[in-house]
Amino acid sequence: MSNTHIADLVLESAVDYAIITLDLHGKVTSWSKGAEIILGWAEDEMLGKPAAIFFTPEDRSSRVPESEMTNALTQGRGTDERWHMRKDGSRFWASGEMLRLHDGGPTEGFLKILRDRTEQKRVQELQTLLNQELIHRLKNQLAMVQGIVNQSLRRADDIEEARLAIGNRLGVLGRAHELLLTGIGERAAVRTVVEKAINLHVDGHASQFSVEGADIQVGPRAALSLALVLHELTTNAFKYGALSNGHGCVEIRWGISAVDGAPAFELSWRELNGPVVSPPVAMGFGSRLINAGIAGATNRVEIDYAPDGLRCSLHVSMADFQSES
Amino acid sequence: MTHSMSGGRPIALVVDDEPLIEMEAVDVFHDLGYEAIGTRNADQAMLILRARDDVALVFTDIEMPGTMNGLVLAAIIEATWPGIQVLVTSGRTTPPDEMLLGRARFLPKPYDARQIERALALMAASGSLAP
Repeated sequence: MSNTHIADLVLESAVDYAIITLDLHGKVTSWSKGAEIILGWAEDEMLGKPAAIFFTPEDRSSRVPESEMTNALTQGRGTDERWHMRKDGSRFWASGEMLRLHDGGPTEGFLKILRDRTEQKRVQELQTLLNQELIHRLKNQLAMVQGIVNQSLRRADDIEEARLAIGNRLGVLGRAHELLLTGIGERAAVRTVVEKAINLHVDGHASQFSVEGADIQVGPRAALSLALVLHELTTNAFKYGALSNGHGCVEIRWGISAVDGAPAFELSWRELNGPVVSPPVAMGFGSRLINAGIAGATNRVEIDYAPDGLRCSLHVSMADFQSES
Repeated sequence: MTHSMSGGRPIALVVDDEPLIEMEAVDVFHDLGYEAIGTRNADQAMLILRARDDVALVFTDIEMPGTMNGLVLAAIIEATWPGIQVLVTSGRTTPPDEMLLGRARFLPKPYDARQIERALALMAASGSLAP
């Protein structure tokens, strides 16, 4: 095979590459098959035309084609990643080079090679967006952790109490996150969130809880809040309430009701057969958290320190409760 | 309806839809010498701002449910109550555009009490903090 034949084969076969030669004035002297496929113009349409045609109007007015050729002359090559134009007016992201054409002697023209990298660029941009979203969520979570740690420290009687409280609360947060990752989309079943938050399947708790409710999905933010609130209610029940004396129990029920004409998630927590309770003297972190209810939502929390057992009810609009943002 | 300052402490309005963060911010501002009121979205904040004339500072998250986000709230405050100082916070990676912030300062999450203190000091130094 002669060198010219091999050269021809290369030009015909390298269809992913636009291989274009220009004269010293930047006018097209050859146009490969790949150039036709990527850019749209056929060789006979482009011969003698300025290469500037397939640069964007902005690049043309900034004289980018000229500076690419100048770079090729002064430095031997000019690498570039930029938008280029197709015959049909559409743009694509190109990765390419402008090289000096020579035979060991003076420059005879330029060689422009480029590949269409639009897909890769889109993937890169999507990746960046996703990373930013992840970092955003992470920072919000870190701020929540900060809240838990600081609040627990402020309100604990001693370091040991704080340490245990922090550990438990962070554990709840961690388990709730786990649930969200394995849920449908970013949601989880209310039942699973409830059971995890109250540690139903560990420590023999199952006999002390009665858990009943409809098959409802909860969104990520609401799930985290719900888990934290239930954890606080459980902790209080063990310390002072129905779960502190060995024969009390907790009844948890949930479902959908209507509030102001819109569907609302409703959960009730009822303690029975426990010691007589009275309202706390000061609002501990747990009580504040319970009263704050579900994050990012209009909700109503009612706590009733009834003598026969604490009752707490939560109402959240379904839209907020299931929101994935 | 107006309220007098509680014991001489300036009033700070905290706006964040995450109760944990709102609670902590209220306590931090209390430690810094403010009387802090916590709200969960811009609409609630607006109710308070319309009802009182003694709010010195608003500390708001950007991304919140409701009719407007924290940046819009900051813009409304700057236009309606220019004497109120605004600190804007968020977990996002890039700070909001200078133009969107206006006179408000941005503090990225997670922040600590010292960073808030520093931001307040900077605002006071630039002469824009309400007396």
